[in-house]
Amino acid sequence: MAKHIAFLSCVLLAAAGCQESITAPGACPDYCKDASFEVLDSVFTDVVVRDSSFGGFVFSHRSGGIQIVRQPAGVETRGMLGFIQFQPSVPTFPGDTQFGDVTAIDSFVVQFSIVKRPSGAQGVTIGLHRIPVDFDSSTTYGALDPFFEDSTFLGELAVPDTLENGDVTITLPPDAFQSLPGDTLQVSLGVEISSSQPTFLSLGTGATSALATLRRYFKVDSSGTIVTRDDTRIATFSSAVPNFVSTPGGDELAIGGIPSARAVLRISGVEDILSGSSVIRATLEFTPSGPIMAAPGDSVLLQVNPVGVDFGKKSPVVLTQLDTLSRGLVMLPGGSTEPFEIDVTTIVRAWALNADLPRTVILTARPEAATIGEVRIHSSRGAEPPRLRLTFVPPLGLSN
Amino acid sequence: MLRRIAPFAVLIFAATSLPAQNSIYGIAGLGFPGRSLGARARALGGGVAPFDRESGVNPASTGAFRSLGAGFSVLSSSRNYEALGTRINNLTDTRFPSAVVGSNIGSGPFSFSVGYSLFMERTYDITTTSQLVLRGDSVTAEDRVGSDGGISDIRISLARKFGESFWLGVGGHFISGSTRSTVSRVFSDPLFESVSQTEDVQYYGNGISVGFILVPSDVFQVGGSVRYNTDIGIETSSGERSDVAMPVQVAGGVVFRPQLAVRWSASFTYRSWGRASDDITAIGTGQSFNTWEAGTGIEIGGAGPGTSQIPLRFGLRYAQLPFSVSGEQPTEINLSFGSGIRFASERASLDVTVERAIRDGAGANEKAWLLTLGVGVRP
Repeated sequence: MAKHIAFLSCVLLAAAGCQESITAPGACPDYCKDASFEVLDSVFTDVVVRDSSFGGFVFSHRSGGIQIVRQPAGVETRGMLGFIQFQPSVPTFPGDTQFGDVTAIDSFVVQFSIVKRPSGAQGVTIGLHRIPVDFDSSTTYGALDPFFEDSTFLGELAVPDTLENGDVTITLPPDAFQSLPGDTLQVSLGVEISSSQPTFLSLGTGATSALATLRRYFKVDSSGTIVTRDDTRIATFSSAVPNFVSTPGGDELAIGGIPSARAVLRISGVEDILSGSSVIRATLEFTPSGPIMAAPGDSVLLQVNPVGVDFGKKSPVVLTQLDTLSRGLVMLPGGSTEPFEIDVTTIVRAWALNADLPRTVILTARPEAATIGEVRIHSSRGAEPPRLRLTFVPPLGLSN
Repeated sequence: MLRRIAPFAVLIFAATSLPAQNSIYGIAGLGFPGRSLGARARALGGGVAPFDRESGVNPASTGAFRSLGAGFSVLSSSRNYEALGTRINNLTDTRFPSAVVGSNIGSGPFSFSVGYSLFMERTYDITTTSQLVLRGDSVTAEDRVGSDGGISDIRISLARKFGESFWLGVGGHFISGSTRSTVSRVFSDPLFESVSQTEDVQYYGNGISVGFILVPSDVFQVGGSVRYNTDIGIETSSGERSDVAMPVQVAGGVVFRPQLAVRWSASFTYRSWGRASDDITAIGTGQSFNTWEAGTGIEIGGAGPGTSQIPLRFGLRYAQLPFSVSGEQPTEINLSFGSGIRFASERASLDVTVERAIRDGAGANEKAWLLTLGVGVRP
């Protein structure tokens, strides 16, 4: 009996265990089932409503990077760097608890981390000036003018023409900061660049280095013996100050700039399509209201994000739905006036799945306030309002 | 009694969810028609179907349940087809085409059975490629149209034996099933998201069948049945509804046993699928035709003492298929061979059938090897 059951089980398992393979290419037209796909492509010119742009979202000192721009006939920026104060007495050995007074300064070394510069730019130099330590994020370009004179000039360093990104240093003499004790041992630097051609340098946090550091080499009294030591201060305040204040017109939306502006756009009027159709691609199309502002040779990266809740300019951006690669991002060359589009397929498809999601997106420049890049587009009240282009498939009849 | 039947009932209804594509012709009409036959009847070309208790053709055959018994079959296929110049090889699938449980009622002349068979199969998965221009760019789109599921025929039948020479049976049929239709399109350009839509389709209908078996002598039997079905309702999950007329089925057959170990059988079946033509055309799945089906087979051995315990079965079947994508009606020829064993004191059986199916017509031809295993149990 057991033998018979075992045989029976094996036979049944062999039969039932056969691998299924039923997928086959259709033999058209007779033996290909018509999928009845109808792909429609429509541009909606009046579905972007209640759009606004708001400035001052991110200030330069919170951006994590600064862009120093030199273009005499255009927007320029100057950099401000503030370092943590030095101490009058320091450990006589690193990590030691015994302190000794600093008896003499040997030199200072300023190091910058360059994260971007235009390829082909030659003869670029970084000029350093000493600026008051109480300058802050409210300081204007004009307020810096007196401190970018010869009297405040500390030195300059030539950026190697072959350097695309990396660290550069300049050594300053021991008397570079004459009033250091008077400033409670604190230093702030003004940074500008010069070149025969309009250009820019972007400073930022490198892979292994801070945006800028100030190293002090000095002598210290160690129990009656003078020894040489050094200590380093990181720039805890860094800000770029442009000679330009963004004031978009009433029919314009501004995105980017310093401080950065964001545009909030709301979509209304495509509910029927979203509820019944399958969107295969969605793009927002814009027409710039003027040339895209960017540093010479630089571009502006725009990003679109959905919001979790529509609180207007304070709407929380849904970062988990960030699109990648070409989705949700567009790179715009400076000076361009060409219409552009940004892919919002992922966002719109999420709306189709959940009618409760706010149909609101926010346009931002990336990274915010780290460049002077600013895009101005016609608003819904402008001559060329934003458009939503949907490529979609209407509901299919599947029963047959 | 209910406790003894319950495991078999579970077996029957669990089996209904496992159909798969079994023919290129299954994309037309309501699908590819199932055959309500056990493994033994398949081996005999369906010739013995009107007399076979494990086949769902004739409710009078339920009278063969002289005690509690059950059976089911498993079918695996491997097939190739060529359609309009496209040749496809090595398509395989496995399914459960039939199952039945039945018993006599007390010691009287009545028997009953509950059976499942695959009425129509609508499982396919077709891919096509096309070239589109979207937003000014040329994009390749791969479409996939699939259907998964089928229509089942649940039969509850009652038979009465008037002595051993005349059996009469009546069966109630519940036609039900569902398919899940899926279409999808994937674009070569990743900027275009793929599209996929799925819809469930429900099928429901009823039928009644009556049949008889006449045994005028030990060497000859004749049987026949008529089945009438209501229209089958088709309802989609999106609310669309349509009806398709179902055929009247007339079947008959004879068994001739010139010797104890030799049995020859033959049968025919007529189905008036042509009456559904307008409905099939209306739902856009081709055309339908009336069908004739005839089968014959011979079984040698396995009849008891003095004969081989391992029977040999040979069968030949010709059938017209009810649905076509064109005006030409496809046909099918089956050559079959099988055998079986009885064990566990004759309380269990295993039948094996190998068939070569050749289908042709409507611009396609298809060849398949079919392996059917039938298991019978008599607790």
